[in-house]
Amino acid sequence: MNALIDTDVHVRWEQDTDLLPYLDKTWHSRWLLGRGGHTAQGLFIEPKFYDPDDPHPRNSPGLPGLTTVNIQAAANPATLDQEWLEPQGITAAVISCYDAALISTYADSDYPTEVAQAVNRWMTDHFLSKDKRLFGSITVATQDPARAAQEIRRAAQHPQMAQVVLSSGARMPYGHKYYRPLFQAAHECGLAVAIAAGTEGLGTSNPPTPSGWPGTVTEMRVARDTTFLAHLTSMITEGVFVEYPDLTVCGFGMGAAWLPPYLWRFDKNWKALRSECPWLRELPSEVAGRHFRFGSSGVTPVEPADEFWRLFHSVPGSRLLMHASDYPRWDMDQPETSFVLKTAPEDWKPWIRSEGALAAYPRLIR
Amino acid sequence: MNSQAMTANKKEICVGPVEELPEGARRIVQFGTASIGVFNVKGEFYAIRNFCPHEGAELCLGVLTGTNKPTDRCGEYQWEREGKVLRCPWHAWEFDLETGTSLFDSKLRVKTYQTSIRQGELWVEEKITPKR
Repeated sequence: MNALIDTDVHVRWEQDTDLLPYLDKTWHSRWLLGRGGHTAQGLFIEPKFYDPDDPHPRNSPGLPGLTTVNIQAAANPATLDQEWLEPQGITAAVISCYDAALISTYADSDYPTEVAQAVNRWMTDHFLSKDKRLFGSITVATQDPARAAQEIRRAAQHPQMAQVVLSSGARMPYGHKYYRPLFQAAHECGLAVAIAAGTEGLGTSNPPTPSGWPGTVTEMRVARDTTFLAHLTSMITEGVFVEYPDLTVCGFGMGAAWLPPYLWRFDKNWKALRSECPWLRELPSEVAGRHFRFGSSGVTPVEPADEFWRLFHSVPGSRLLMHASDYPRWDMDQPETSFVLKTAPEDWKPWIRSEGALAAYPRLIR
Repeated sequence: MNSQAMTANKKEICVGPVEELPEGARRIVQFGTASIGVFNVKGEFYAIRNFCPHEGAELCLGVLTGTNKPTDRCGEYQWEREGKVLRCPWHAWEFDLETGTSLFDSKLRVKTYQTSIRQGELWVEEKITPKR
C-alpha cells in the first residue's frame, strides 16, 4: 500500500472548559468569557469587512443549511481515525489547531503566551499521546518571540510535534529579525514552520491586502494571498534560510500557481539588487524551490490541468506540493477527488503523496 | 583626435590627451562599429563596451560605484570594489569595470578593452582574433 500523508488536518477542543486544566486560574474568566478572545465559532475577532455568514451564527438551528460550514475541526482522535484516517488510507497526518494562531493578533502578550502553551499541552495529551500517526503543530504567540521560542523548545520535547504554525496575517513580514528566535528554535528542534491563511486583517494584523481593506469576503479571499507573498519574499531576502539552512516553510491555503511567475520577477530583481542582501548568493527561485512547500488543498483547480503543472517546470526542484486535505472543513479535499493528486504527472505523485512531507517534516521518519 | 589604426592582430583608437580625462571622468567614444566608455578611476584607465547585455541600454551612462560582496552570514555587509562597479542606468545590473563580468552571473560579460598611454595620449586597443 502506497504511503499517504495528509499535511493539513484540523483539531479542536470540544468544550472551552477542556483547556482549563492547562491554563493558570488568572486567565480562566478571560478564556471563557472574554469578547474578542474566544467564541463558539473559534478564537474570533471582528473583521472590518462584511461577512454574509456572520450575522447568523453558523450553528444556528434556524439555518440548517449552514451547519456544514460550522465543521472546522475534529474534536478527538477516535473520530479522526474512524471518519478520516482509516477510510482514506492515510498513514500519517499533521494536525493543527489553526484558529489558535489568532492569539498572535491580540494586542497584549502574556495571555496569548499562556494560551499557546495550554493549546500545545492539550494537543499533546489529547491527540499525540493517543495516536502515533498524528503529528502536531506548535501554537505560539508571536508578541513575545523569546517566550515563543522557549515554548517551541518545551513543546518539541514530544517527538510527535512536527512543526510550528504561524498565521499569514501578521504585524510585520516574517523575514524581519524580530521573528528570528522562533525560526532558530524551530530549526534547532528539527521542526518545519507552517504559515496558514487566516487572521489577515484581524486584531493587530495588517489589512488583508497591501492596498487596504477589502469590502467583501470575495475580495478578501482572493487578495489576502498577497500577505503570504510578502512573507516569502521577506524571508528569502532577509536571509532566514542562510541562517537556518535546514528550515522548511509550508504554506497552507495559499494556492501555488501564482508562485512560478512571482519567482520570475523575484529572480529578475535580485540580479540587479543583490548588493542589498549580499548573503543571498543564489537566485531567489533556488531558495524558494528548496525551502518552501505548499499544501495541495489550497490549490485552485484549473482547466486544462496541464497548464497548471507546466508552470512548475520553471521552479528549481519543482517539488513544491504536498498532499493536504484541510479536513474536516466543508471544502476539504478527499484524496480521490483532489485536483492535485488526480492530475499530477505520474512521476511527481510519490513526492506529493508522502515523500515531500517526509522531507519537510524530519520527525515523521521514526 | 580619435584617430584609429589597425594592424594585422589588433585595432586601436586614440581617445585623446590623458589630461583631458582627469580622475573620476569618463568619455564615450566610437570604436569601429561599437560605442565604448573610457573611465579614469584613481589614475587607472578602463574601457568597456557601452552596451548592457540585458536590454541594450547605454551601460556607460550608469553610475560607477562599489558593491556589497557576497557574504556568508545574514546581516553581514562588506563593501568592496569602490568606483569599479558599473551599474546599468536602466535596471541596475552590476558589472565589474575591470573584467566586464556581471556580479550575479560570472558567465555574463561585457567586452572590455586594453588601455595604454603613449606620449601623453590615451589609447584603447582590441585584439583581433584571426578568422579561420
